[in-house]
Amino acid sequence: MTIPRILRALTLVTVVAAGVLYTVHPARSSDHQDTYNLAHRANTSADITDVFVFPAPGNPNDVVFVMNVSPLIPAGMGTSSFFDPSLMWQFKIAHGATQPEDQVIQLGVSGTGASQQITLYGPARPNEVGTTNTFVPATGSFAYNTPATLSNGIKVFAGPRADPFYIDLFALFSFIGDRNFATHNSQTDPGPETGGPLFNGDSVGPPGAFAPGYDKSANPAHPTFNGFAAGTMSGATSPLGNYACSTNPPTNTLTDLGGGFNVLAFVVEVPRSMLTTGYGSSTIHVWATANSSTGS
Amino acid sequence: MTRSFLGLVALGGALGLGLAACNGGGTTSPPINTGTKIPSYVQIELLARPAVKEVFENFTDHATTNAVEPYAGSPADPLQAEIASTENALRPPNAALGTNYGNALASILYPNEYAVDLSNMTDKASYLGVETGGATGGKFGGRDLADDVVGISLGALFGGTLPALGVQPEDHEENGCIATENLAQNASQAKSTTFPYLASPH
Repeated sequence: MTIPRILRALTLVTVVAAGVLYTVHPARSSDHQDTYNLAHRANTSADITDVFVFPAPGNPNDVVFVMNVSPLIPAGMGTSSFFDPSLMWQFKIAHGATQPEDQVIQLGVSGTGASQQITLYGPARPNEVGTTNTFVPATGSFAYNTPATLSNGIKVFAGPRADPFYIDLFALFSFIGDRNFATHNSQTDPGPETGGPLFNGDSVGPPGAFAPGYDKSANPAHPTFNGFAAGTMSGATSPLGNYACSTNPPTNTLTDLGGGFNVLAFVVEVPRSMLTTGYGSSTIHVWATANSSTGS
Repeated sequence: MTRSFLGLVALGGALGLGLAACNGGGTTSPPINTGTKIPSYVQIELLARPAVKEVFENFTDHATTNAVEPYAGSPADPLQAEIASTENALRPPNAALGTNYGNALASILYPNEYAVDLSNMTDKASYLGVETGGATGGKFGGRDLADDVVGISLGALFGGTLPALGVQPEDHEENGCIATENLAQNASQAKSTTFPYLASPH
């Protein structure tokens, strides 16, 4: 999960709570993401929040690839969030060695709104490796928010789901404030980086409105997460000293605010044989990318 | 789509329940889309290991790392060097003990890719499972929807994970206050046993 993206949702909650919803400029004032370019895209589906790879539950012959995008869709708004047709999303796979990719699973989208069609390309050897890519031959297309099985047995889904990630973001920001997007004015603004690793970010931007008071101490000498039993200490030989850990309750930022948050999920369940036949290793390395036809 | 607060709230409130009911649709076999997309697409976002960029890398470097291969290395990609420098700033190396947790983590977490062992399909998926020989929960590796990736990461950064695995000598520099976040996945986020496996939207 890209942590600064949570700020956009916190902004939403802030706005709703303040009752000034209709005065807020769309998109740019709310899309607080991890880079300047991503933050200024009108559609947030270029933002990959998490990637998962696991054996299909109950079927050890299939491998499931999940790529979550469009972070922090507020509760009740999942089915009114859609994909950007100008993008290509990819699972890149390298067999044996860690580089370069020798197989890709790609997804593209056509149309707008709830009638969007998603097309799966591959799994196939890539047309080219590296950071500029083209689509390999299409495998099949399917509808937004509707599970489907393609003719070759691949199961696919693209649509809103609950975000499975969990973190006490306020506690993290309480001592690594640099990761709070609101502490930067642009992608090149170093913000609190100049203050060192321990710098509080919960007093800046939307977290300032929602972080509990115990997570707002500026430049904390004694960083701590929450939820420790009374008397728990950092450790007698800790480089930061021996001090008491916080007994305050932790917060699951993805579920404890505003009824919880959603993402748009790409889910592709692939027969294992499609990942191994013709390749020399059953150990693979996997990463995900979002690519833009405009380059930005 | 331009995300508009107004549009989102209006649609979410008025249509959320009705549209959510469409999620339960059965599987179908759609026609093949034979259309060919000619353009080249340039990488603007990259992600594999969770929380690595966010914890270790300065904000100003995220755009650079997003646009390179996950194996590019220095100087094209600042991530690997920043893993080492950030960790060593919070957990200094000890020459007498022979510890350098920053370099150790940089060698484990970079390239920024998941390792997946497809010969272990009946074992559990678990973040860093291949790199640790299954110590994080299973030898399949990859990442499960329920994995406590923040907990795993904090244990490696600030806790006793690396000495416990024999990756580094014990440095006695653990910080119990930031080695765990004492948080569990909410039931509303829990993995389903049926495709597409992620929980229904909130």
